[in-house]
Amino acid sequence: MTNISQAIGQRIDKFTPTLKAKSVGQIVTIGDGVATISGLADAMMAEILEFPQKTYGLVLNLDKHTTGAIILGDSHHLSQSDEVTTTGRVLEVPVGDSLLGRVLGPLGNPLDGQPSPKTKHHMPLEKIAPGVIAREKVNQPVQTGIAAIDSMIPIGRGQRELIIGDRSTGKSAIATTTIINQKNKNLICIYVVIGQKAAFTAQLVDCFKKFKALDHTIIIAANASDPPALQYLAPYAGVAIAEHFASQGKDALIIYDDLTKHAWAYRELSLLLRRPSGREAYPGDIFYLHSRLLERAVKLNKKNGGGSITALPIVETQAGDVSAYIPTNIISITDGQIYLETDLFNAGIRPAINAGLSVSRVGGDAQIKAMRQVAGKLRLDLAQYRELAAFAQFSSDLDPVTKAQLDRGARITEILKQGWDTPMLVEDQIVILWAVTNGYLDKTSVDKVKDYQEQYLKYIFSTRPKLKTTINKEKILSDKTLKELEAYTKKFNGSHPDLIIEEELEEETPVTQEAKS
Amino acid sequence: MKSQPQINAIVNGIVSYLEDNQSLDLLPLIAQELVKQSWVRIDPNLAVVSAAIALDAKQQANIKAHLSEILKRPIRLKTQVDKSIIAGLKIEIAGQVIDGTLNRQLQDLKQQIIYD
Repeated sequence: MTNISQAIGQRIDKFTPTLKAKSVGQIVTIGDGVATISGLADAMMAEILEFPQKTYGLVLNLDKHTTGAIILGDSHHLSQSDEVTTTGRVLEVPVGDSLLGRVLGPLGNPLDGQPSPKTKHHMPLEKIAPGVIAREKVNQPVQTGIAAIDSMIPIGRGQRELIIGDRSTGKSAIATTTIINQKNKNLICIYVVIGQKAAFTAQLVDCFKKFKALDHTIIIAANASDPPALQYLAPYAGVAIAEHFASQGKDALIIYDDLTKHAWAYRELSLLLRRPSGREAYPGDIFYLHSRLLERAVKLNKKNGGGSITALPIVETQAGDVSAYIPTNIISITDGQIYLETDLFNAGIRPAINAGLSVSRVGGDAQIKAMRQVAGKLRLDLAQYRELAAFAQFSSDLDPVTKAQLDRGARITEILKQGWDTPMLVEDQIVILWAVTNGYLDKTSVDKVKDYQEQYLKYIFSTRPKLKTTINKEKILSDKTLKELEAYTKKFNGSHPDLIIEEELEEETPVTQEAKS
Repeated sequence: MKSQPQINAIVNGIVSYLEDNQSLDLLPLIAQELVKQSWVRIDPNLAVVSAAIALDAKQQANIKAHLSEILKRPIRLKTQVDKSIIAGLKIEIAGQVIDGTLNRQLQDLKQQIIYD
């Protein structure tokens, strides 16, 4: 009791009343987290307003006689004719290294039950993206640890790559694997959860803890139960934090999971603010909503510190329809997309990436040369396989060339299958992809491909440990390395007959007289 | 408040006028319109000064001179007595409020103790 009175006494001692002219208005209407306020003649766009009980709001509409604002947080205690004052500040989020490993709300409030992180700096949520002068070409890779992506749809630091697909096709899993794989890779990860179940966020935290990935990760969460105002602000808060790291010359990766729900939240706010609605009831500035967010992904040039922000937005489609309003908008903004398909997922091909529809427009430049050497062939082989496989279903007789292509494709598909919790090192990916595209697995049965992969990688890197460092250092498969690989792969195949099937001889079954009659 | 009887008289006047014209159903719309007009038609040169006790002529002149000097335009003054502000002054002018009352300071202190 004395402690409480002491604490209150201290507060009273510290209290210094300030006197300044404030612009004061009154709430005219309030509901669903949106308020209309009269009398704030000098309110600015995107200014913070102060409501009673230390509740804050954000100006989004400036009308002739009224001001429209969204309330940041709970608004149940507010009522009509409550006083509202301007603050002269714009929305900012605390930033700094102490945020790493934390789960925060879009305004920097802790959600993980620990005290607020101690920070020295603040960054504005809304900021104009860096211009042409400050940028340079994407030239460093983000190793996702997913063979199918790193080989065929490479992502560079500073790129914006969309992950798109129906519900439960493994979109978040790709993002999670990527974060798990960034341990000791100098990439700070920010996972922005927008409008998802709170259980999803909890699961995410557990998963990152389990894989010790939380140390380089910040989670910004606006769950489904949070007001739409917070869901709308969450991605901007995430990118503001990323910008702080990028300005220090560090590399950051930001995941927006997902922007469909972000668009829904913004639509809700816009309708409540009575803004005119357009297609699918989205407001007119729905494109700008996402373009101004994704334009903040950047690769800064050396003069500006050389930092980068890589953005991986996620979009959920309905029944595979990529031509819906929000997906087409975001496809056009981003530098490529990873398209996930339900059919592939159900067929057991995970990650369920459709290699034909997925592209990376700029990542190729960032890919290491060794990977480019093996992946060029891979894409071609896989594309031919997909085309042939569709036709082969109708015909029983296949010429040997076609059959070989089909067999190769089946093995490549098998190699590219990967669990979300087992990211692969880039050296492993290069070696196994080299082996499969050069036909060393052609005589292995499809169900043994994964066994082959495991044993082969163990064998090659334990007998030739220098190979890993050579690939890592040279970043290219030199003739010497290739010869070495060839020799040791042949040796491996020779010493593992259990993984190689005998070539089937075409046996002509004698047709007996009885059967004929 | 001193002006309350005046307000009541004006409201009664409007209501009885509408009653006479059998258009009392327009009252809510008229009320809304009046609220809008109140935002627009606020006199930018009129300062409403509230105090706990009645201000004498010298005090009023002093406030008027100060405000006119700060705002660089001639200001008219309207004073009212409001016991609830305990001590100090509250000046409202052109949508801006300068609140130096003891009541406000206590409110701020309360908010700081509870919500900070």
